[in-house]
Amino acid sequence: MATMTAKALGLVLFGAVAMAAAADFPPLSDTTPTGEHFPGKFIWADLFTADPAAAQAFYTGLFGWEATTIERPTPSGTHSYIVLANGGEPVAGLAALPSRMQDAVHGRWVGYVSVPDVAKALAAATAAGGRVLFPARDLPRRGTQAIFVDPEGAELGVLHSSAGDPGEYAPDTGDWTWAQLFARDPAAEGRFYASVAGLDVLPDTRDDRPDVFVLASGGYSRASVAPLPPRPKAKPGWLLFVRVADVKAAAAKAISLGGRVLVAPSDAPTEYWRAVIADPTGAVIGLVQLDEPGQP
Amino acid sequence: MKPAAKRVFTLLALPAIAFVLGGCLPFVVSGYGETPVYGEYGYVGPWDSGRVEVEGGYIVAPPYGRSDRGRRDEDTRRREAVAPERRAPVQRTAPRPIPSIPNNPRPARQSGGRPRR
Repeated sequence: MATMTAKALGLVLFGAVAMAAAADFPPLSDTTPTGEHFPGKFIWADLFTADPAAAQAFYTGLFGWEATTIERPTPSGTHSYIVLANGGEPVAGLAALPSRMQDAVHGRWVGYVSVPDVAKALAAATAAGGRVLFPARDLPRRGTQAIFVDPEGAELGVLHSSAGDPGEYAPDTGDWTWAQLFARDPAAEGRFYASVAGLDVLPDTRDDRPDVFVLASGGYSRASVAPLPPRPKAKPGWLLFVRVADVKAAAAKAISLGGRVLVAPSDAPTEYWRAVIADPTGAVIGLVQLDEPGQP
Repeated sequence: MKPAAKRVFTLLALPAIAFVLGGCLPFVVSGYGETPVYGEYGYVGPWDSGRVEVEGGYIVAPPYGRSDRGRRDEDTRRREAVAPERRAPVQRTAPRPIPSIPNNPRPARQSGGRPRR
C-alpha cells in the first residue's frame, strides 16, 4: 500500500509540477529577497489535495494566509496552482490531485529543504537507500526542485531557490516553524538526511531518550527525528508545523473551519505548545505556539 | 500551421503521449490509501473509515530561545585550541548543545502584504 501510495503521489507531483513548470511562480522571498541560501532549512511546502478550494478556504481562514491562483491552460482545461502567502511572503502551494486519484490519495503536505545542489542531493539520497519520486526540474523564478522518498518511505523535497531562501528570522505566526520525522530507525534516518541535506544530527540534550535527534544546520535547529511506534499500520513521515499565537484557539478555529483535531493541545503547563490537525481534505499539519524571544 | 507541419507534429506528439500513458497505466490506483502516520508518536487510522486513532507518544518541541550560535562558535574555537587528542574526551563528556530555531528579529518588510503579526 505504501508503495502504491508513493507511486500515486509521484504521479500527482509529476503532473502538478509539470503543469507549473511554465507558470509564473513567485520567488520564495517575494518581499525580502535574501540572495542567500541556508542549506538544511525548510523553505517551502506544497499541499497536494483533492479539493484545493476547500483547502484554500481552510488555511486562509486558519492562518490568515493570502491566496493567489496561478492558472495555465492545458489540453484538458485549465490547471491551477495556488500560492499561499503569509504577510505577503509566499510560504506554500496548493495543487489538485487528479480526479481519478481523489478517492485514493488523501491530501498531503510535502516539505522542501534547501540544498546547494539538487542533483548532488538526489545522488546522495539514492546512494543512501532513498528513491527519486520527482526528478530535478528548473521552475521559473523558483529554482530547481525535486522530491524523493527516504529509505523508510517518507517523502521530502529538496530545493535550490533562484532568488535566495527566506531569511533566518524568528518565525512569525503563520510561518513554518518546525518539522518532525517519525521514523522506525531515527538514528539511521538522521544519517540519511545528514548525507542528503548536510544536516548535523544532534542528540536532543533536553531529553534522556537515546532515540530522539535534532537536525541542525547553520547554527540553528531545523527539525527533529523521533521514533515511530511499532504498529503495523504506522508509516514513517514528516509532519510540518506552523506557528500560531494561541494553539488552543487555533485548534478550535480549525474545527470551526471543517478540520479535525488529531492531537489536542494539552492542559499540562509544559505541553501547551503543540497540536496536530487535519484539514477538511485530510491533510495533516502541526500547530506550534512558541514563547516570545527572551522568555524562558 | 500547414498540413504537413501538423502531420509531423502529430507524429512527434504520439510517442510522447504513449510514453506518458504507458508510464501511468501500471500505477492505476484503486481503493484507499493510508494516512501518513502522524500525531503524538502517532498513528492516525485509515482515512476512509473516518476513524482516527491517536496514541500517546512523543513530539519534539522546537528549541526556541536565545541563539546558541555565538556560544557554539566559541565552543568550536575552544575545542580547536586544545590538542587533538583532547578533543574527543571533551565532546564525549559535553554533548553539543541544541541550537535554537532561527530567532533573529525580522526586519521591516520592503513591500506589499499585510502587516506581520
